[in-house]
Amino acid sequence: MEQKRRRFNWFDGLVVLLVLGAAFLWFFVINRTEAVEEATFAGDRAMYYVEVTNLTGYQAAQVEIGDALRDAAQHLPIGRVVEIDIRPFEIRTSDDQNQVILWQTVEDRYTMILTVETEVEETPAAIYAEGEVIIRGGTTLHFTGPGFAFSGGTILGWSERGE
Amino acid sequence: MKQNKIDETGRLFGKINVIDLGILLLVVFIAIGAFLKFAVLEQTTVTIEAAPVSYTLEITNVRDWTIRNIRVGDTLYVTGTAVGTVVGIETRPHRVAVSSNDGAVWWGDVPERYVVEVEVEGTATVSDGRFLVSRTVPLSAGTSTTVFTTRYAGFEAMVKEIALYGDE
Repeated sequence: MEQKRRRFNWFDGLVVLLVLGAAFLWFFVINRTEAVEEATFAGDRAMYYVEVTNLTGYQAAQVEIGDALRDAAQHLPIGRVVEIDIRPFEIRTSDDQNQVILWQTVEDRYTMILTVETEVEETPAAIYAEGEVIIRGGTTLHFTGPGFAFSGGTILGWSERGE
Repeated sequence: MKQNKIDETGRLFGKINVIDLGILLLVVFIAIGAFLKFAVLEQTTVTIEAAPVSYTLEITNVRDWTIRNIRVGDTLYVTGTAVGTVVGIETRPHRVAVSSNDGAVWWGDVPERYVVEVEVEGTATVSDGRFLVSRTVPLSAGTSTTVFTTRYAGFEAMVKEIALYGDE
């Protein structure tokens, strides 16, 4: 049987070079991601705080410890509730006579602060809860859980920054 | 009998494979394009050296959590572009004007609410009178606000003052 002799085809070499060049461009120019200079958290789990204000007693009683939360927009997991703090809701008023601004509690209205534990993934620019959703202090979070949905929650911040 | 232009092995006029010819043409076009761009055509943009820039952000009517969320050394971002490093933070009480029922107006400090001033250092260029921080993000002092983020927090802030140290 006649065996075909293998010869180097210079066009094939050119194709290999083009592919290698494209791979080099992708890894070192286009897909350049900075490494995290310093991990924020000691482990891969951390806690953050979410506040929802002006709730009725019924609304504030919806969330329970252990509930798994999800981001309402994308339905992605964002952690599990490990602590619930219910406080009276306050609004700003003024005492004109003494020229003092003060905060007064509103009867039958509550502020709920949830402590949420999550697995974290960090990049230089963001921290992701459960590797999916960016959690940043000072931003708004719409979230859902088993049988409840809250809009307009405020992320207070990460536990690491709470000290 | 008329001869086929492409023979049974895929070669054009029996000389060169059609696919090989395509690759060869692609390489030639890339080489011509690179030559025209780098050797023949005039440069359409002029490289401007980025100079150090210092600016102060003002965030009003925030709670202590905002103060805790921003720390010296944090990198600030605007829509994903790093725009500097926090080098100083100052806070003061947030004050508001209150109009009384008797028609008087007085100023008062709001308890547990603060104004945070964040001093940032980065680099910037000037293009048509605009300061472009990190070459791409326009920042100007005034009343317009910009959303800044760090790894930990996000906030809307006004640029209180901005100074470029180009030729010093």
